Amino acid sequence: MDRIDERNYWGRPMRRRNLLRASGIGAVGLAGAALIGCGGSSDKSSNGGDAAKSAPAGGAKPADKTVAIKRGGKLNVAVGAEPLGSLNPHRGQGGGDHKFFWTMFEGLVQYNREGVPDTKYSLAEAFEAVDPTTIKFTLRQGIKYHDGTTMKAEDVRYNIAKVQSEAYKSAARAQILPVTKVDVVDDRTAIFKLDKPNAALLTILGDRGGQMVSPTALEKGVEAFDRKPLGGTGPFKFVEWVSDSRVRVQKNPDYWRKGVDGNALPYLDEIEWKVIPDNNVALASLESGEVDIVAPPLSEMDRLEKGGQYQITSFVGSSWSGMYFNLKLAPTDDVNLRRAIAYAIDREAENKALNFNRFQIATGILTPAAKWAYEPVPTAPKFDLAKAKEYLAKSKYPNGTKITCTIATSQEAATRGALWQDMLKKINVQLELIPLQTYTNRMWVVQDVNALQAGFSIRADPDGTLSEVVHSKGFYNAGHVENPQLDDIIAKARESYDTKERKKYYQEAEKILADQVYDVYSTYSAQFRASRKRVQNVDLTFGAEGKERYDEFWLNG
Amino acid sequence: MNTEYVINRLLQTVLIMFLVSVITFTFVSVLPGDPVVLLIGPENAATMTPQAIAQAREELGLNKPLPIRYGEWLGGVLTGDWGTSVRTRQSVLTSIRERAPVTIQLSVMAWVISTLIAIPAGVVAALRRNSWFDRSATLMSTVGVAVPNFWLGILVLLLFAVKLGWFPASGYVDPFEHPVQGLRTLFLPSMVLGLAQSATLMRQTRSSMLEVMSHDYIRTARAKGLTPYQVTVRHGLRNALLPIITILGLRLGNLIGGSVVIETVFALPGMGRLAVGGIFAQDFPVVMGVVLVIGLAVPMATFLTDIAYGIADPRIKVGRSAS
Repeated sequence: MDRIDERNYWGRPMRRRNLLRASGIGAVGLAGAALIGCGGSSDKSSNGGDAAKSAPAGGAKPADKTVAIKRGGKLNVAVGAEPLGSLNPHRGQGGGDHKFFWTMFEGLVQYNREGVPDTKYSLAEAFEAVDPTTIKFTLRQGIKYHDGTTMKAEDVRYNIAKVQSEAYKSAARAQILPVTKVDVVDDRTAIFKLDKPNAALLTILGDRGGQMVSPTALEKGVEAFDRKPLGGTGPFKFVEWVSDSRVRVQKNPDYWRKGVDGNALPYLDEIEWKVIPDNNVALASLESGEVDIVAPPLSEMDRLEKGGQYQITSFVGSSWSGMYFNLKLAPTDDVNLRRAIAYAIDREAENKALNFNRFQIATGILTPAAKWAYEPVPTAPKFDLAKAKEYLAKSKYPNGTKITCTIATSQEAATRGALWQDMLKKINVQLELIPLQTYTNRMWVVQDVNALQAGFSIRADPDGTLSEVVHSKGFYNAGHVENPQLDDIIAKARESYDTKERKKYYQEAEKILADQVYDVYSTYSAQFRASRKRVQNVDLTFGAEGKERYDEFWLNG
Repeated sequence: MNTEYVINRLLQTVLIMFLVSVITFTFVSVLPGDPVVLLIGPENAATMTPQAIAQAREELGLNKPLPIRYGEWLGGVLTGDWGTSVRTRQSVLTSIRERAPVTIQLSVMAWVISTLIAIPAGVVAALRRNSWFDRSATLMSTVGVAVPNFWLGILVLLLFAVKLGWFPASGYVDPFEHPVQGLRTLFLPSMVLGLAQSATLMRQTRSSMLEVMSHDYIRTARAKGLTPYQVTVRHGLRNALLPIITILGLRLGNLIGGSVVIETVFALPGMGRLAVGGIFAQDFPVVMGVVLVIGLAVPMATFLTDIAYGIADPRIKVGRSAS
């Protein structure tokens, strides 16, 4: 049996000889390189990409040992909404609720800031690929849940079974279904059997479905645990959740990870999230000193950056926005018409008008947040009216046509829709907008519209994005893409444990997408946080998936 | 006040509540979208067996015809079970119990502030008709009606919280636990809500006072040698009160409506925010619960107004002239 850590796991070819060779050179592929890059006392800073414009964040860098870390204090964070339904990571549904979960819970496998599964952050001190469909996990010793019980391998089986059960209603259930069986060898060893090779699974385990929850706490009542989740192993323990007002957590004195000063993390004593729905009011709260961190309105970013009073951090690529085409309905079943539309969209103008030039121009389905898998797509359509007209002439509609498009009922969707209408007029394509609250259903269920103007929040592993959006059986395959070649590439990428090989497959997939234009990718979203200067390590705000983490923050004053 | 009047009023309230609940239940139920998908997430719904989805629908009672669902909801309400929020999985009654004090405190404080501003200002404006004070008060009341709450809220925040630092910009502290801090957090939202409300009340006070002050008995009171204060308050204001009380009563309902916006701007965890969250998530048990409470509050305010008529003017026998 090959004992490997996450570094060679990710570059692991299928044969032992190759594995040893890989281990011998220290790291294989981008995953290995990323791990070397983030080794050492703590993480390097990582913001997941460069926003079109963003000021460098201030504050002491985590690896800067010349700065004495101050322990204690309370961090006040403004959030737009309270947790959606549950603070149990398995059952919580809010896409923005990870910031709460990540303080209290940890995964059997946790990915680092480069999106690579990393034992340094994981409850498993090692994971081994016994064969392509068998993974062995060795748990850390003496990890205590917040309810005082100690973590055992049996808990792994319990948690996976719980997430997979329909009655438990876990939002992460679908992601964990590839695990067909969990064998418990002893208190520290659990073995997963998979339905087929799945390179994405380790990263997925770092998301909500793989978080470890105390069985003792859950058995006391799943519903009660939703509101009072005292059963994680994370650096902070739950204190209170006052609906629509605040969520508070306090330091876990038994936490296992160490800070750069050699003592146990976290540095902070307490975190309080204040629920402030209006982001202008949240910004006012930052300026009046009531909160330390906010997500400022894009319209205020210039002022904040020029003022220099606050630290600004950014993350690019939590999602892309654009348009899905219905490939089963004329005229969008014509590839040349789709190409004409993709070349007629002025992405720069859209970014300027809608996002104050703060987002990044998109070229493909994978965003910069996909880290090792991301490469700008050189063949991607970009704004070029001459080319657009050329493709229109080649299409069945050389004199132009009309397409119907559903959009959300928000102001933002209406503005984007109106912009695109104007852009497409230049090639004589009339875009008829249909604003609907159920705008996605019209495309998926009724299927009587040509397009859907929407986006997609990327998944922790690139497989999640591609297999859901452009695989013929993908749940979010709104345009009914049916391309056997693409399906085959996605399957091969999922089943390969070689990161370099996976990346090549994804580049091949991107080439097909750029050529066939099943979707138009216009911008990659950017998130910003403004924080007071007393907050240190703000460069570590965003994790690989673009969700906030505060485990290594500390307050200077 | 006679018993027959009270019974009549209660029956009217029950009828109003019934109609409001039927209309709201129908509207919420016909909204597009599926609460089951909302509850378990779209990806999850795609992997669940039809049996599991059917079971989830059954748990939420969505598989039954609308009138039966309404009947079950009504039966639950009458027996103290107001249902569970689809979105937060919390009991609706618990949610309302947690939020109602915030909205009540906000509304009462705004009501007091608006009354304290509007009545004296209205009286002075009437007494000093066409003076600079009258003109300024008229201008202020016009602005008060015209300016949207949320915009005024942001302006007030920037001035008093950010620039001057006198009050916190957002958040809520229970005034019964920390009186000073609690009143500080409620002051700005109450002021914004109260200012808008005071505009109408001031205009009503002014015109009512103008009318009363032109009556013969005021001239008689003056001729008797009463002080200006006695003439204005005891003879003038007291007789001008009836239309003012009507506005005061009706405003209670408006205040609860206005709190929806103000609670969002000032991040107060009240019933208004609960309702907004419920509507966006098609969380019908929550929407129904909040509508029920607000639906009860408005007839109650009208009932209290009727009682206040009798106190302000003993000639009015509640139950005869006012019913």
